[in-house]
Amino acid sequence: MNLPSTDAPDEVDVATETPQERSARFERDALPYLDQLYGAALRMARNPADAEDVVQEAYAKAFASFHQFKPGTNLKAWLYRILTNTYINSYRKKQRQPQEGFGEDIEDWQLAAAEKHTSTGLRSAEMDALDRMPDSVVTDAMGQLAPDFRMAVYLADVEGFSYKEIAEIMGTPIGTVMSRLNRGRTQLRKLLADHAASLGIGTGDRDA
Amino acid sequence: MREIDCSTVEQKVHQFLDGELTEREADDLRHHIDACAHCLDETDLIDALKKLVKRSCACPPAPAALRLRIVTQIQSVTVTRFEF
Repeated sequence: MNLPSTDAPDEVDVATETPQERSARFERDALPYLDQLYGAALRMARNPADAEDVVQEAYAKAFASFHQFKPGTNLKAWLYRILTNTYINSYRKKQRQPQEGFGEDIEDWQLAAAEKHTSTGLRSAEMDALDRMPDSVVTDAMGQLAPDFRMAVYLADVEGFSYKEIAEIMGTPIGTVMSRLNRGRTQLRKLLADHAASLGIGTGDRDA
Repeated sequence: MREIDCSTVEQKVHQFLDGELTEREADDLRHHIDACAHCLDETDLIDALKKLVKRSCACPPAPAALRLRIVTQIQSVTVTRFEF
């Protein structure tokens, strides 16, 4: 029986392709992810000029090592990994810490306590407040998370990557991904609840 | 069906909503959540938070100038290498 091979159209001999063929393949396969990578970079860098620099550098690096990429494996995750590393290296190089509200050094029990505190008796009001939360408030709150937490939440909720893919992209074990997601979302929820409370939403006072 | 308690749901709710549990584990969780108002509320809230993040982080497309710079960069690198 002659089964059609699913990866036949992408089959390429990386060792023998010419530079022109490689750059054409890169443009065809990697460039379509530009909008998504730029979106992720905007959320990481939080300013368009830095985001553009990070994306351009990431594409340059990806192209330079494209011969090492194994065709047929996960190109999107590979590109995100390069982007993430580029971002981390660039902010380390500049000795500039991104804005941080919570650090990774906050203990789990403190977060658990915060979580218990905000969730007691406020749930339906909190849900109400979430529904009406403006996008800018959410992205600001995202910006206050530690970069590792922010990335994990972004990759899972916006990009829909699996834990395994996020682990590959961030170069960490799956357990670390789970803990970053859990803690990142808990912090985000607290930040949003605090914001709502500062406007008198979800405190229970408004309708009293 | 395996009976589970609220603390197990609390531990696994993120995996549950992210589609990272096996069908069987997810069924165990659903079984508990359906009958527990507390866990149902918590699950709904985290689900709403996930959707809110997705909605809020919709980004504009990359600027055309950036796309052009990247393409130009690729092509110039290719030409340089080819001339070697």
